[in-house]
Amino acid sequence: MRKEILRMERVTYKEADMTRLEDFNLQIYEGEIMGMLPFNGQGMADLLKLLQVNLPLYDGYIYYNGEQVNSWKESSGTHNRIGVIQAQSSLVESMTIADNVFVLRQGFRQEVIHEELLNRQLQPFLKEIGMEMTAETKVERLTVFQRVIVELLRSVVAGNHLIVLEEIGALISDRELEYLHQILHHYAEKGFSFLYISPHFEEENNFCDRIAFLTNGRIWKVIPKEMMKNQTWEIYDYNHYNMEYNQMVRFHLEKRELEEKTQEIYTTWRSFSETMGKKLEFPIYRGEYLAVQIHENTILQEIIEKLQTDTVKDEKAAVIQESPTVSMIFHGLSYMDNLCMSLSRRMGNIWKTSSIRGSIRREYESLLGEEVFDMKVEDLSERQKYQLIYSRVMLQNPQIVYCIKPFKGADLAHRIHIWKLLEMLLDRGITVVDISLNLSDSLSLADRLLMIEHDGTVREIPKEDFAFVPRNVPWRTFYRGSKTQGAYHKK
Amino acid sequence: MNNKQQSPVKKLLAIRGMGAALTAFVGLVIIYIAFGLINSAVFSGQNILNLLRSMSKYLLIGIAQSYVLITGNIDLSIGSMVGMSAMISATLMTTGMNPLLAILISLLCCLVIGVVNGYLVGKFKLPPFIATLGTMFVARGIAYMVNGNRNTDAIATGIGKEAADKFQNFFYYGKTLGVYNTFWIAMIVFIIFFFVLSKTRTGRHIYAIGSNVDAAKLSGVDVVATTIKTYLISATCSCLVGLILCAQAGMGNMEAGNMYEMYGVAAGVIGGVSPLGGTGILLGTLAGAAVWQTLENGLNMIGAQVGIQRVVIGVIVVVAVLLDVVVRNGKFGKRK
Repeated sequence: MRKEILRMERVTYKEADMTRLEDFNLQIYEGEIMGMLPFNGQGMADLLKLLQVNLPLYDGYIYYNGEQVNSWKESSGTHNRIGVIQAQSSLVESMTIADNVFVLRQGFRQEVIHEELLNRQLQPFLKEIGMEMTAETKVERLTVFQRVIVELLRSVVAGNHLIVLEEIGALISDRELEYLHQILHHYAEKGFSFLYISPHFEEENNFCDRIAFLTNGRIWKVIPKEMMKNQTWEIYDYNHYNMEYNQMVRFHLEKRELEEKTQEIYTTWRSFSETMGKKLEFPIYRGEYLAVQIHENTILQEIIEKLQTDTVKDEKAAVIQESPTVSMIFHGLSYMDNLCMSLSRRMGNIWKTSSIRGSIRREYESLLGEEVFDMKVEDLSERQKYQLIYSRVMLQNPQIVYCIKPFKGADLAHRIHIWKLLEMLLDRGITVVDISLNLSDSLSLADRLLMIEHDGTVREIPKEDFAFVPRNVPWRTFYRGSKTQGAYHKK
Repeated sequence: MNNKQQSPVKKLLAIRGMGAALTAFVGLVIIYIAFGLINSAVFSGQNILNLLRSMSKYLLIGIAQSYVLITGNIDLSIGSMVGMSAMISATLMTTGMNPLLAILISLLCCLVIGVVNGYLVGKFKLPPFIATLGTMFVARGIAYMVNGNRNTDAIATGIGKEAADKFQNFFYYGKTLGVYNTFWIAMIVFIIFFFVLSKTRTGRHIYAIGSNVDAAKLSGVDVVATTIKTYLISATCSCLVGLILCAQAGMGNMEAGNMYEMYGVAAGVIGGVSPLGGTGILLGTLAGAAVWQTLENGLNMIGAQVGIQRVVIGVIVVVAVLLDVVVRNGKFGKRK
């Protein structure tokens, strides 16, 4: 019989009188990779919190590594030795890999540090998984993927029986993700258990041993590996969200196929990558949705930096930053001020003339709802925040919008909403450039895909070839049905 | 595996903060030689000894402030703790108390201020500037009150000339191996705290908090305890400087240590300790303290006015911080 590592039994967790997790049941066995697919965000953060700290429960029991660590009767508030790897890195940038793995972990008691010894101790761990890093390298010099591996190693070295990975696919490239999956399998064989959280079914499909579906703070279904292989879409379609998403993508693809394409160059992207010592150049066509996948994080950072400096000068261009509901909301300002922030570039007198703001309010009330205008921006729901940011961009009347990882961190319900907002931009004839690492959602809108490789090579993939992108793409059957296979060509 | 052997120079420069520390040392040599060329008395043996002794105070204060700065905080109460330490020890000695006991009581009082600072900043999350501004006034107030709002008499009046001489020689006037004791005291403290910062778990935790406090918490670092430790170290060093000033004057001065907290910031920052936290080594602070004292000494020797001395030192501090910010933001070496 397999050893049980985690059991959450009938767990109900409330915070500020709100039920966050309800009748939540989850079992993870030794050496198992359990996938988790959240359809909406409710309960996700609370689950991670409960796994790490034994907070008071309203009902239920939690067992970890054979011991009852928390129950509705008694909660100790102690920490469980469970590793959690998230988008927000828990590594200290200015310190070495060895320091982060050994010294900065719970349970490290040795006061005097022997650096050479630590470096030597780390090498076998790195060698075991084929990572080419030296223990004395500072974390600030590592790529995002290497950082994820360092966090993973820290958990492994600490002997955490369960390691949680939340939305790592949004941070690293396809190839790196594949490598990570191999490493996780390696450790799973050695007895480590994983909870792999991702809003993309195709990322978990065929990689996880089982997948748990989470909606409204409840696990509503757990499917084993065998079912994933045989009835992938049937299982996924149980949820109405996904049916809606599939239909939207299908309609969009049909609609775009019927539209006439002019292939008129709107602008040519030109930048110099200092990392590669190479010039990056590619055309952007008017009215297209261009997905750009960048495999090298440093190139991505350079492009983002260039966007943020250049777009300021270009009135016809707008940027929707990564995690916009955090990075693009002005707290303390009113909803109306937030909405009109970009408009002041076009209309300098917007803040003086209340009649202009009044007419904007009347125009947008039907789209955004009356009530939001009197709400504090911090009280808006995630959906309302997305709506506010995209409306702000539309008010600016741009000809091109650059979106940095637009779907990052969004659960399925929000992904559908973001998808609709992006389609709205396209419907208004705005060119959209989507800079992402994870292609799952981006490809459903894209007319073209550009892959920028680690060495700076730009590879263009037309829509006809999307089905052959070397990664599980959710709507590949739709693309296959549309046209005959094209051919990859290098630029 | 990528196990390329690094050259010793590269290895040395790879140590965090070493580049800035070495730059400060190079700056020190240049400044010293420049002043020496203007006035050869700068090179005299007695001047070097005096220089080392005066530098020691700034080094101790620099160590105190550097520890706190590396965690991303600041300690504005250092100067007042220096004054408090000087006044408490002097007052107690003028009453005839054993100097050793007086020293211990002074240290205890400073440690109390350190603990309060640590709790306010670490536990109650008060902005360090505000928290230590408060304790700065409290400590200075105690320095005033301890002897009824006036400076003390000579300590010899209480403990006798012999004991007073012993005390003064131990902390200031005495020499060991031809160098003033003040320097040796500072060096011993420097070696201990250099080791703690670079070779111990506590040291790593201090850097981790300054670099990314959230990541440090997630990594199991006890942020409150570590913050308290840094303020305790700061209090200990401040107390030592207070005792040195007391020994130097042979009495307690209520204004002793005035502005020393800023000298500490300057010594650290010139040596590459980042006021934004997470970077810097005490070797840099040593260089910073030496640069500071050499500038003061050199400008004095060439007859520069006090005003000019302040302007020059102020400009150097600003340039050092500016360099830190520019380097952190990676503004160097970027193509337009």
